[in-house]
Amino acid sequence: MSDHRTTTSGADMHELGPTGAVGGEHMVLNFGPQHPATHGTFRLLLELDGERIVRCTPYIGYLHSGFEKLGEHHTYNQYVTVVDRMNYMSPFANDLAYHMAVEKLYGIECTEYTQLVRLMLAEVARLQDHSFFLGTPALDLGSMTPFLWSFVGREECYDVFEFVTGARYMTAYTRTGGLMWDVPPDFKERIKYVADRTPGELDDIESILCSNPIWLSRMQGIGRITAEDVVDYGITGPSARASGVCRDLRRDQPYLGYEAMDFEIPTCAEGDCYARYIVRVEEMRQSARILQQAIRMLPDGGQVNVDPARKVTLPPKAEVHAKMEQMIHHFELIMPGSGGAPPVGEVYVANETAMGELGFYLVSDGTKFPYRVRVRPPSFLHYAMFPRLVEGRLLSDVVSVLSSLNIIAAELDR
Amino acid sequence: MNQPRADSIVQHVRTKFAGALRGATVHRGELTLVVARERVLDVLAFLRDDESLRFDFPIDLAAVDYRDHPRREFPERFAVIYHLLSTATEERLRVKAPVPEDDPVCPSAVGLWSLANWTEREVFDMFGIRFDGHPDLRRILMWEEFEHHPLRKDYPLRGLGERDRYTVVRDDFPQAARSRRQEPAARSSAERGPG
Repeated sequence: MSDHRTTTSGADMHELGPTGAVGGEHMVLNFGPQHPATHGTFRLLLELDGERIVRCTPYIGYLHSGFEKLGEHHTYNQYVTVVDRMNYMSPFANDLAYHMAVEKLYGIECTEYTQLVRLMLAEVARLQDHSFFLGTPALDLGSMTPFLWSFVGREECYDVFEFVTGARYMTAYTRTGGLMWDVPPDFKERIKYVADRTPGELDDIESILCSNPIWLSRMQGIGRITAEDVVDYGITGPSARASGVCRDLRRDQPYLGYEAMDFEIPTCAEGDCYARYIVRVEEMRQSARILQQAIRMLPDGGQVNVDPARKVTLPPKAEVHAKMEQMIHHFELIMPGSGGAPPVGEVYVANETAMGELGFYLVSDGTKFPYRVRVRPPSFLHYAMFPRLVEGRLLSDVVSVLSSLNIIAAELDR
Repeated sequence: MNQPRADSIVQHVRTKFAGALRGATVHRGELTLVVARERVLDVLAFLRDDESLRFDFPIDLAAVDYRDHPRREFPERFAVIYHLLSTATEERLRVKAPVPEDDPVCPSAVGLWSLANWTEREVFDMFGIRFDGHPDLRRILMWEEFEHHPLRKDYPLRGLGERDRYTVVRDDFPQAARSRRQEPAARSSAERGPG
């Protein structure tokens, strides 16, 4: 019988390594799992010599919910609801990456209209995600105003998702071969509103933060990731671009029509917390730019779901009640059984999300349930670097580095 | 990846590692190499360092339990899966190293890429595959004393009753003991019943 022991007195003493001078000069401090600055439930065991960190051991798994195991017990369209909950800062981005993998497994390509809608919502999701990390590093370092301002922008993104999908947060909007339903008639106006207001909000927040000496001294030169580290640890996304490794899947392995969009990839050579912050701010400006272009390109309507044979997409409800074939298809797709299954095979598909490369490795056994779902979690891989970045530095740097790395606990633990 | 390029990569690897390369497939434009686990580190290093290949960027390290799969490529139950990317050519590649159930060990790739550190810990945690040469192979998502490997096919989705056997031990400070006497005792979910 297994016993899970927790102590209120602090660290798990037997876990200290050979340098752990318990009762000597070093203090052991528990940072988390409940801590306002950790943005999620994860824990750091810090061994301190005064303010300087001698050793840092991360403990994760507090939010582990068996998402990968759940994938084996949900059908391909059901699992999108679980996938939402991984990177919960931009749920739609997860839906999208997942369903793009499923579609590759099935060998289906979506219509251009759907791809453009997905691209636009992916950029809104990027704005949504980056909005969070616009304000929270400031909040962690003691500045509350930019945090509240950034959430106004975030709420505008929530509004877009609410009007399109019905849910502010856990959208579950994509389906195999398309979308849950078409976008509402005022979609373009709503997207335009978000795209128009973003640069102004970024200017406001930058003006309050980026000439502030406290902000600069706590973010510049801290938590430097080198370009070698990026390749060694598999770092992707803004954290990689802030270290001079200019890679972006939207440009390097384009999907969804990004090749038709004109945008820049912001990079910075410094690799410190400040670099990661300003790269994200600039990415938000570029996202707004992409949205403006997409609005002009989007037709007023189009075919949302591909799949005339109804092998993966549910028929419209009215037809299900009236016509025999549609009823049969509906039955086959909903009830457990072999209708609507992809061929045996495996794929890996990755998207450039706000966090970095989010990939899904799907293994199919020819049934409606995935055989294995592996999520390639950027937060997990980035957090593995964390001890390197803070060991030898001060306790106050832990907060700066943690908030600059963009760690989402649900993606970390799954 | 198109077929000619995939063929040339397979050919190139085969000339150096004829015995180790157990198979190669291309599906949906993705190349997968099946490599014997004893030589997998050599093959990965070759894929990374060879001038014509340059698969330098580690994407992911995972595992699959093939016990219930209808079309097994190899008899071993598990495989460790490596996903690689070439930053020079933007090509992707998958390497699979089959691992048998009765000897679930694979060499650790930590020496090649530090990404392997935490990802191998997760594979150990979820599948029970040990990695030879890993500096710190312990569980990462589940707690230390947990005894099973949840992503194996024989571990049920709802677990094996761990929630009902979850004990919390508190250091007994006098104030805590006094206030605990006034609270109703915590009951396990089995006692509380459903709902």
